[in-house]
Amino acid sequence: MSQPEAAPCTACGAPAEIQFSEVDGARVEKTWLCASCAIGRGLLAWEPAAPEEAAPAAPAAPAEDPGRCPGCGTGLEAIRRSGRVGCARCYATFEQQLLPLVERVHGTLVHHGMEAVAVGEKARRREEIAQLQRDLQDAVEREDFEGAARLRDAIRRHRGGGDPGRGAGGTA
Amino acid sequence: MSALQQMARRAAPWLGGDAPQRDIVLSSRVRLARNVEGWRFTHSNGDAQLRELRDELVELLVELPSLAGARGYDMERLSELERRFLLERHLVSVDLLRHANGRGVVVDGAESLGVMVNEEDHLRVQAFCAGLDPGRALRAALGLASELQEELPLAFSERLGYLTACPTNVGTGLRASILVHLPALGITGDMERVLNGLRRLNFTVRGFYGEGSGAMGSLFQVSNSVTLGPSEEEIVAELLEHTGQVIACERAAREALHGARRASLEDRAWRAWGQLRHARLLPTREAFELLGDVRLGTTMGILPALDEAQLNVLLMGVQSAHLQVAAGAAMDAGERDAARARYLRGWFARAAHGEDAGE
Repeated sequence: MSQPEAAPCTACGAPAEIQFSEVDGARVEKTWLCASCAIGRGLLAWEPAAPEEAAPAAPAAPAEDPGRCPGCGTGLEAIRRSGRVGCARCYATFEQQLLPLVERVHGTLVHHGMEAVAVGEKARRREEIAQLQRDLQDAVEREDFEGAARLRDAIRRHRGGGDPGRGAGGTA
Repeated sequence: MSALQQMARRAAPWLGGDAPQRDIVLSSRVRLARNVEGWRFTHSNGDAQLRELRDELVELLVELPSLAGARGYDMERLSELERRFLLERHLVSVDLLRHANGRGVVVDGAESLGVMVNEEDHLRVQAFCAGLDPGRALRAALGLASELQEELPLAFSERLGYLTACPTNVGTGLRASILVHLPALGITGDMERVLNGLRRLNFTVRGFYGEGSGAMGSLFQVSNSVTLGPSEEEIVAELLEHTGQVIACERAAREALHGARRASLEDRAWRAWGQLRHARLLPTREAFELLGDVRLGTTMGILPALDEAQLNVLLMGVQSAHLQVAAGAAMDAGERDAARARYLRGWFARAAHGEDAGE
């Protein structure tokens, strides 16, 4: 990639920073693209950083230490080591550290695909069940087995209303 | 006979049928990763919780319309051999083998649609189809994913999309892959240049079978690596476009071989044919190489016409766990090599009727 004088991006017209050359046999095709369009087309080459490599890019002294995730108790160090988060809530808890990593890997921070659209009664019940499930997991962690049993019953009751018939299943 | 033994003795149904660009493309696969809200992700969760979640999910999955007629398997209840068989069948990943506790898989009757439970993410939907048709696999996978989210609260954020254990999978959670046969590019020496071109565009390319030492039988898997930003359709469209260019390169290389190295190619193809027809012991790697040579030979018109779908079936069937599960007995290396050779001799003897007629 070379960066001589600026030309408009052939895709969006914004000032382009990158000249992309496509070699096809003897033919060389050159296109000007801005960084966003190049990334959007998957043409901008970068090395996806492993979480360990992402660490040096983070500020040396973070403004606030997020501590452990309230959803699962995982700490940042464990996430960096394993390359995996502990639960969905980690993305909010460690937003400051994870978003730059996500952007580095994918070149963007915005999802444009299929959505888990929450609609209506069924969705509301699902969300209630999810909350009960979170509480249940906490109760089990605390070894509050009575509380866990009550929560399990509550979940069963929530499920009982209007769920599609749960058959015998085919578990081998 | 167990369900898995029955499976081992027949070809995976999805391998037959319509297969666009079947001379070069073996199959297309789409994987979607999803997690259930309210549960910790797999590797942060304990065995007891995972088992509970697994049982719940399997029970739910086999009832979904897309998975009508599906069977659920509890990885813990399968033998080592059966687990390896599912791995060879591409229905489970290595992760599910290494940690069988609280893991499961649900597979439909055609084996073309399935879900791994408690792999790196709670749910990994997988859809397969023969030849170059990732769009078809995508539609099947998205259909199942829609049904899933009607029944389950999924971990999702407006901004980051579906939330996955690994940040490299957030957004669509989509990994689309195409399995291609590139022997001519290997012979002409253009392989590295073409594959590096793909890598520069942020596609992952790796040898499909065999670790490290390079692609067995010139089989490569091309996949997307970006999952956030573009839509599912856009990811698949890009993968199709760029794989299309690789396919064109392979075709051009095969054309070039027609002229320049015909004699040595013919020799190579017929030697492979001969060995497959008559060898008594064949290790896996050798079987793969020979099948690759035969595939090239038949698509270039050197060998008698063979159905590529059948060759795909053979590639599946020669694997170690397949042979043992089909036979219903464990075998040591020597026994496997003999069984593999026998399996191939049988098939090629039938195919050879074409040879005798031709010569």
